[in-house]
Amino acid sequence: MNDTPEKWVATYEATTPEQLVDAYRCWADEYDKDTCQGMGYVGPGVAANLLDRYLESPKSRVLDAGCGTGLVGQAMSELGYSCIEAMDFSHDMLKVAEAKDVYGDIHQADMNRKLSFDDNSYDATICVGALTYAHVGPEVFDEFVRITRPGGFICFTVRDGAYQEYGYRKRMVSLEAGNAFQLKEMVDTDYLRKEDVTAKYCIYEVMES
Amino acid sequence: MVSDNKTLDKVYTATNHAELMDAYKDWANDYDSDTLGSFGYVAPVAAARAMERVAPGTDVRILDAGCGTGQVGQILTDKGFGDIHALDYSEDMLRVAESKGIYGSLMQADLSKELKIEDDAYDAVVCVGTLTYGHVDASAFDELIRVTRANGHICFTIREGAYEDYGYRDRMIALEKADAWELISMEEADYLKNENVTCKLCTYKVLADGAPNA
Repeated sequence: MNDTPEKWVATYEATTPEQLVDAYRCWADEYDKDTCQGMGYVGPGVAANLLDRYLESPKSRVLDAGCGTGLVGQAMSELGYSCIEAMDFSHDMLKVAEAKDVYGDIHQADMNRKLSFDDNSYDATICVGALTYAHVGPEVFDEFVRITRPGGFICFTVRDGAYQEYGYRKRMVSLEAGNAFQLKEMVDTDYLRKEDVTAKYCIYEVMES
Repeated sequence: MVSDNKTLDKVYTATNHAELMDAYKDWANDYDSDTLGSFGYVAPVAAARAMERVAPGTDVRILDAGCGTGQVGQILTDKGFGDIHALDYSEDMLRVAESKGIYGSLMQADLSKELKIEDDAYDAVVCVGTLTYGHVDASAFDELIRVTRANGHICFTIREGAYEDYGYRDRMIALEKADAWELISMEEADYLKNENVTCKLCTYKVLADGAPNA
């Protein structure tokens, strides 16, 4: 038995932002190996492929929100995208992400607060593995809608359980009812393949406000 | 042989039930060969697969709402499901469905009206190719939820275009907001493959505390 589950558990049992940052500091260097090889973490690739089906140009401006070590940026880069920006709360994770050399600007920010980006800054926002217990609250969807241009896309993963219990579903439905965005697809498929864990992959189109 | 777009036009442009039933009466016998052959109607296969993913077992009691000639019923039967019940508005289509010998019962009914079916009568509902132009109102969702037990599933296709134009999207979201059901998946799927027409393939779980009329 390796210690992967323990480091992983620490990231969603954190009760304060400081604990969360600490948990990722301890994990940053081993994160890619532990998740991809250890747990069969396929979320970044699956989500990148989903978003790619909707984007018109490899020049699309994409924000990787909650980029972690940059696995999504890497997957998007392999698909030909060259205007990807990174955002994360953890400096330690951002350092690993930066080393992958797939991002333009890199931003340190707390997604539980208002983001410093202008309205309609991006053609797409992608957020993989960050909408979960102890990480980011459902109000973040309002910010994603604000910083993504109308006609652009928001692509994210959310785990069953957290989806219902953490208010994500409620906020998503309410934003859709208010015509802030429109669901294009929601599929439940492999997330941590070796652990038999699936997640919901969602893609929304941002509407004219 | 009526396999041309005129057939499909007649079905989509019907302005009342009499016209729609006329269209299907002319078409019933050639429907399977026309849709499967010329149009590449693949929606039943995708919907049956979606049902298979969420059904807890093959013994679930399924309502095939808008069964037509029984294409979905046939595919579900081939997958091992054995308690499937048919509902359609067209007597002519129901006759073809009955001849397949796969349904436990058959019922003639209008999905735009209140159904003479008890609450929670089914574990699951499948509704393929019925939520489209000229066919069934968005209010049908309320009835499908009513006849499905809590935690049961409803799988359906909506033809592209009709999803927004025909009020389906608004009703689906309103029902989710009221906690009548919860979306499990929504996929873009081929509908009439040879005509390049797609559909939304949706699976919802019926919730226990929902209020369909909210």
